[in-house]
Amino acid sequence: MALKQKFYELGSATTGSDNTLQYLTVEGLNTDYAMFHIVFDGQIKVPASTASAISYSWQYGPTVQMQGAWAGGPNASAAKYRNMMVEWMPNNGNSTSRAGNGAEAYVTTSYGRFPRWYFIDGAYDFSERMIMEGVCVLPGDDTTKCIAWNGGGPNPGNPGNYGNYGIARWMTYTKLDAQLAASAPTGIGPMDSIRIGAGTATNGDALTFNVFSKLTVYGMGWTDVHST
Amino acid sequence: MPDQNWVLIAQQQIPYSNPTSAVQFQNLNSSTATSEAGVTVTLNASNAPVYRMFAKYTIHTSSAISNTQGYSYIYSTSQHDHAQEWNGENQNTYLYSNNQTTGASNASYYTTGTYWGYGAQSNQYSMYGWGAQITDDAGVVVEPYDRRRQGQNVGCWEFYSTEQMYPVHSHWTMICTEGIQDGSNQTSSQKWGGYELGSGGSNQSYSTNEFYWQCSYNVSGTFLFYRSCNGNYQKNE
Repeated sequence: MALKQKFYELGSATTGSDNTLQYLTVEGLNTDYAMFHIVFDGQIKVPASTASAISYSWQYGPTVQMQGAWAGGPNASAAKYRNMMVEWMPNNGNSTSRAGNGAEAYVTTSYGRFPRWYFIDGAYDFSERMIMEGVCVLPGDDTTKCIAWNGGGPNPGNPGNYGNYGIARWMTYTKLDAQLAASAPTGIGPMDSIRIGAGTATNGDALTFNVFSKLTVYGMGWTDVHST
Repeated sequence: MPDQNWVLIAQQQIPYSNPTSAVQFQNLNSSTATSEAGVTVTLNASNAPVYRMFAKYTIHTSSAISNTQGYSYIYSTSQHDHAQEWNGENQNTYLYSNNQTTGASNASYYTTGTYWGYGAQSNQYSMYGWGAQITDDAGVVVEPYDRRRQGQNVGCWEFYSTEQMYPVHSHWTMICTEGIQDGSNQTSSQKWGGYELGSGGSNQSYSTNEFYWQCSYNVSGTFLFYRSCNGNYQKNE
């Protein structure tokens, strides 16, 4: 068994100065690496027309999709996800978790999702900010691919009411369902793409990413073992 | 390409056909990095103080994992202090998509290591493999119970060392499984998975030359050990 020291940024997507984008997508990843390190660093932009309707409420986080399994993607029919979300709310004691994505009733859903963040209308422009770091071990092997995420960060507030509903930490585990025939063949295929979406507010309104939100995938070394 | 400060120093690849219950990384401070200019540096606690192991592993049992059945330690398996938070199949057998469940926490001392068992999921549990045969992109038929479709625990164990005090290591693990039924029309999931956060350390030695990972059941999977250096010592190949 051999190792090589291959450490590269493999792809990234950013909103730049645009605050109207709903998705950050990185495709065509070279999966010949020992591990992927995936970094999402972004902010959610709530439209002014939505803000008052959802103010002072918890909102489910950005959506997670992988391996081209999304509407309009190369493996759209494989969009059957298993997702677990864990959140630590400092005003709520121990961690809490749930299966699924919070928006769809069933435990197998059409997309994965990060846990919740709290919205207060009138917060400073960049206050709905968050970071999630994901790892995918052996992105090119022949088994089911999974991304394990850690992060958190949104601490909303406005000049009159700040910092009461932050998230101490998020954890999320996302993969395609390995038993359903629709998703299993793609799930055991290469981890060649990822898409993070801003998602929708609890009232159904579409959200977008704020400026300079970014999704980056790094290759972390190489091994000649790709099937265990 | 400039030299870099991350080095993948070692791997343990445990085949599904030959699982084991113990994973060890020894002589950590004898590993080396070699720069573009051909300069080789031995990575010790001083010049490569970050130690980080990522793992993806399948636990070969149908039994629920108790907390002490999975543990890790540096140097010595005794007199550990540890603390953890978790939520898993031992605590909540079912997890509901439209409901949330609350985790639990614990801390103790004089233990064999720091425990991650409650954050792991057995991967050969009863009724697993309820799906149908599929055919992969290469035309190979894959059974629903095949290793390629079993659940995979993922975790990270990390520590920082100066070798001038008793080291502490921290970890997180998590897994999400397919439960026992077709989740596309189920609102709850049995054997849904689990997660944990933990840390701990012993008062036996300052040494960070060895790291041990232990499970009471057989395990297969991939364990990758990285070091991060305080300079760019490694050529990017």
